[in-house]
Amino acid sequence: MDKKELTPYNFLEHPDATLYFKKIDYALKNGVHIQQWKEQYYWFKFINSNEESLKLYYQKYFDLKLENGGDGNDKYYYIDFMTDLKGSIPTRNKKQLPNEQVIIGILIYKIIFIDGYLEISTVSQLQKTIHNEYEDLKDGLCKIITNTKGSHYTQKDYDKLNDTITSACKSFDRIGWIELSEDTLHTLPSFHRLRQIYGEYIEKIDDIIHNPTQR
Amino acid sequence: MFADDSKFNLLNEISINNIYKLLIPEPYVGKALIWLYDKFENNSSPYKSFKESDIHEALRLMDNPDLVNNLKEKYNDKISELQEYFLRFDKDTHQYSFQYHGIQFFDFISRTLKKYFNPTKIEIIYKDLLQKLEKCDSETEILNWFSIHFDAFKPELRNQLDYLDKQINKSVVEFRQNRKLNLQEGDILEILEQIDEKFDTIRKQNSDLGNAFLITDKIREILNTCAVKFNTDAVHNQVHDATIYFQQIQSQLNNIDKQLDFIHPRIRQLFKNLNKPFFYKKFDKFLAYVIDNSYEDTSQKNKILLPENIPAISIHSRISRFTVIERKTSLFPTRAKKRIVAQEDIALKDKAFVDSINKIKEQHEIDKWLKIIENDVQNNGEIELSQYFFKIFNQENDSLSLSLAINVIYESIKHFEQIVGYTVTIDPDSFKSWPGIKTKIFELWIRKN
Repeated sequence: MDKKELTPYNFLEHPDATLYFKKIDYALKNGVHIQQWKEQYYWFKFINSNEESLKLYYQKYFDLKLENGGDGNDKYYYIDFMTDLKGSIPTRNKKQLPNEQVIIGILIYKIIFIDGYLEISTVSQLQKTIHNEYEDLKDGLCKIITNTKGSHYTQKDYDKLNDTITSACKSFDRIGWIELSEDTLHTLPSFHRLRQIYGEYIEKIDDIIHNPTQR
Repeated sequence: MFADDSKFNLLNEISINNIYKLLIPEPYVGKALIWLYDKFENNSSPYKSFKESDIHEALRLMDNPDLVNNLKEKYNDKISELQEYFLRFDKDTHQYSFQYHGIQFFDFISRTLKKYFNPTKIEIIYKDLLQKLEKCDSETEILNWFSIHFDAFKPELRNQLDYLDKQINKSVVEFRQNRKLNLQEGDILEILEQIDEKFDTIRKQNSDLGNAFLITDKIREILNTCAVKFNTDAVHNQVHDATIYFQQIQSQLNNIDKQLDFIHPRIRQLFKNLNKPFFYKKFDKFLAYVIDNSYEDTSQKNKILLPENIPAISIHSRISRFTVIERKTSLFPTRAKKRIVAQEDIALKDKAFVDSINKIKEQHEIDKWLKIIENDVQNNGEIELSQYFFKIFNQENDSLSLSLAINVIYESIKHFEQIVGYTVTIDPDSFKSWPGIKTKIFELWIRKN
């Protein structure tokens, strides 16, 4: 095949474009991370084969950055809304993950991928593990999430913490970080995006702690 | 086996006297028996018997090895008790050997503890069960198959599955404990690789077990045929229990696979966290910093803010909102109703036509007679309505005359009763008749007041 000139619309000529591009475009713009998982497998393949052209397309027409993370079977694609090129995303379309959910996300990452609770497969197991094994962090969590001042918790505090864990999982499910099916929770490769986002802050955490005002 | 299992209560039975103590020995006695079991029973030597001095030696070692060997009295009672279920004493040779309970007891314990996995054995047992089942020809044989062969095998497979399940749990717990020891990166990497390999093995074993389990399809098929053939409650109950057992095993096999499905990728991903020194420690510090320094927004209740120097995560909300007016396919286009095309029946049509013509004719005649009656009343001041009945009857003289006469009389009564200035008199005691007419009628008069 002749090597064609790279254009922001090459990908439209791909035989699968009519089948997948519409879905992929909605998903990416909705913040979904696309990896080799179930239906996304075909989307992933399409992006993978048209990566450069698609990158140009999103950059030229939307000022958006199509990025990827992970490698091998764990590679995933997403649009990076953290770096707003030229501030071109309309404010009403901007959305942030609620920060309490971000904190829960970092905690889930620690529980599974650092502390090795590999067997956690349901939201209820996760809630139970947080309550039973992370006593030391629970005080702080309750202070932020349930606004508890002391160290005595009520049923309402527990319920609220559990609700926040559940809604965080639902949000992560929407952006393709995990797959949630009723109570069952399956972490997907793109859950590591969380680590990618905060990697540099984790690296320089000692500096941040000592000079809290500096970025 | 008890004649009636339903009346057997294990707790009650074992609570009688000191049966519990005799069946389940206290720790040092148990260990001494295991020592003997290993040395004499569970080896390849054909001599499975031992002397009383061996028992003394075993008890002393497990009780307190420092004791001097002069505790024959102390142990004598124990040895006597053990003869109830565990040991057999041969009075001729003065040798001891293990009883069936003892052998089963320690065999069961060692199987539970051993890294015991043998799907080939399961497959052989299944094939054997299948062959025996195929030979069953009567209800008694089927019921015997359940109670003798199938029941005895049931725990075997469950034991194998439990083994796999335990292996998974043991591996992750072991890994976690190692993690907590803050091991060097290289060591933890090695442990991860070991688990990774172990999980590959477990998956393979689970699939082997699943393959062995495939034979049960044939067994279930035959059992269902038996349930139909020997249509009794006893067979139905057994087949039902067996079906549930197979379903439970199938779901346990699936669960092990599912467990591996989500744990295994996580192990692979864990490797990624190992490429930077001190990463774990820094991650923990980072999480603690975020939790300790996040705060509620003063201008917006319930909004949490991260520490100033840590960015929030932007995700995009919907780029466009479409207003969709749903056009329900079930409603549009409107479904055509079936047109009913009437089949014309000429005879029926003619009859209906004649009937309706007759109705009109009759109404016409009624009107004609009403006018005559009205005139006559007007002219004469009174008339005997009964006489008109026979008049009409005679005059019209066709098949419809009776119906016409009755209708005229009714209509007249109705008409004159409603008009002020007329009286209708009916005398139920006086019947009027006419020669040649069977029908009789009350005497009826209409009078002008």
